[in-house]
Amino acid sequence: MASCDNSQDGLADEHRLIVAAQQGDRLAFAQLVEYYWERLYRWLYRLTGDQHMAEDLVQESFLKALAGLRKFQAGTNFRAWLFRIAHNNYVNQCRAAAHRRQPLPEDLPDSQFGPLDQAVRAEMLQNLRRAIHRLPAEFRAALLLRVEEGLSFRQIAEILDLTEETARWRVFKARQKLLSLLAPRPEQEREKS
Amino acid sequence: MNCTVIQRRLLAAERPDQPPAEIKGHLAQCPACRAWQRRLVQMEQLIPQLPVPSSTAKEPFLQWMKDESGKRGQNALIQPPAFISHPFKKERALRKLSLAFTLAASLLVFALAWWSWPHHSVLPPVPLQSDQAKLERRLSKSLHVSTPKERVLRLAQLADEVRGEIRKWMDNSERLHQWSQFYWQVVSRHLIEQARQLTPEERQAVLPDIALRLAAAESEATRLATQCKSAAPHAAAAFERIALASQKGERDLRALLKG
Repeated sequence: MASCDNSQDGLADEHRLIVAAQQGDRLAFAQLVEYYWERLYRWLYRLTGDQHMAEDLVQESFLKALAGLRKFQAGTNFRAWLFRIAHNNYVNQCRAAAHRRQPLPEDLPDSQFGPLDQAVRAEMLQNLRRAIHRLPAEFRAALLLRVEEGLSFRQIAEILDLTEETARWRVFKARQKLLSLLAPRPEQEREKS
Repeated sequence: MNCTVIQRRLLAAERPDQPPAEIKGHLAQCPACRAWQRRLVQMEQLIPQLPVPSSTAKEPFLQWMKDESGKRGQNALIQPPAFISHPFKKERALRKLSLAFTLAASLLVFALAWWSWPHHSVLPPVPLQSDQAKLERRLSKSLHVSTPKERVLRLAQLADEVRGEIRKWMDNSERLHQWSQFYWQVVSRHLIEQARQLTPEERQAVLPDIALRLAAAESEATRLATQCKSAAPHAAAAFERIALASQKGERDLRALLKG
């Protein structure tokens, strides 16, 4: 599980790059893009379930970040600021698409396991993926920031524009709902016994 | 504390795998809660392992940023885009002045157009959704032809048309956004997807011309974006998106031509 301590996994030169980018150095900004692209993309992909939409949102977020970079206070949390821009974009996109449903992509099985393990694991992951997509978007967003990005409730609250307690409550509800969605149904239990 | 309380506290914990001492005490004696905690922790450990398709848009985006900076000198400080507030007062004042002139000129043009327009025939504005439906129909028409080659030709034609028509929305930020997104979709997704299905001979016959058109589109959109930056940042963003889609499209087509 990801740690709450973010001091170790940050970009070493981040502060210098931000200051340089604020002065108009696009190569410095490109390095920030390079570092944060995958993390932002993973999160948005899990939120949208659509590769192209996630890529569009990432790109849009970086363009907006570039446009608003001067407003960013160097020394504060750049990752939270960036994820907040991305989240606002995502919310706007959802409004525009009027909750248009996207098909979930097919996943490839992981090749590091044997055929049986691979099948069981693939099914488990498939179930988990479906369950995550059945979570309300606001719960999903908070849980993924906690589990994948390892953010604290305070940082999640900052990104999603909530109080810390609401962020905690959303993660609580997401976990509770996921566990209930993934719990074996009574008929499956009977079949096993 | 009973089991329900323990489980609720684990659900609300930042790290359910590292519970506080009082919960650890309960877990040590309660196999049911231990099993429950294990399920929760395992579930959270599995989430980061869910597969994510690799992103193909990062490299073109980074390349675009590097190209942009390269145009103005490799290590030189680059002027931030116009919609970023400018640090120098004199230039800022000049920009405000030019914006005021632009606005005044736009108002004058608008007043003249309003005065000369036949008012009885003014149509109500078309809602965004109906516009989107029309765009989707045009896309679907381009995709519903029998061969990949025809689809590629039709999609390239559609991209040209959209680019030409987008100028009528210069004063409408929502539509500019909508149309530039549509252009992105046509070029970056559908055109490239269909181009991949062409045989090597068809690629050599069809793609060079389209790549050239995209290159021209990129430079035109970049020029328009630069022109609009101070007066209409929303239009500049739309043209930047078009430039980026064209550049990415051209690069992908050239890669397909090389095989």
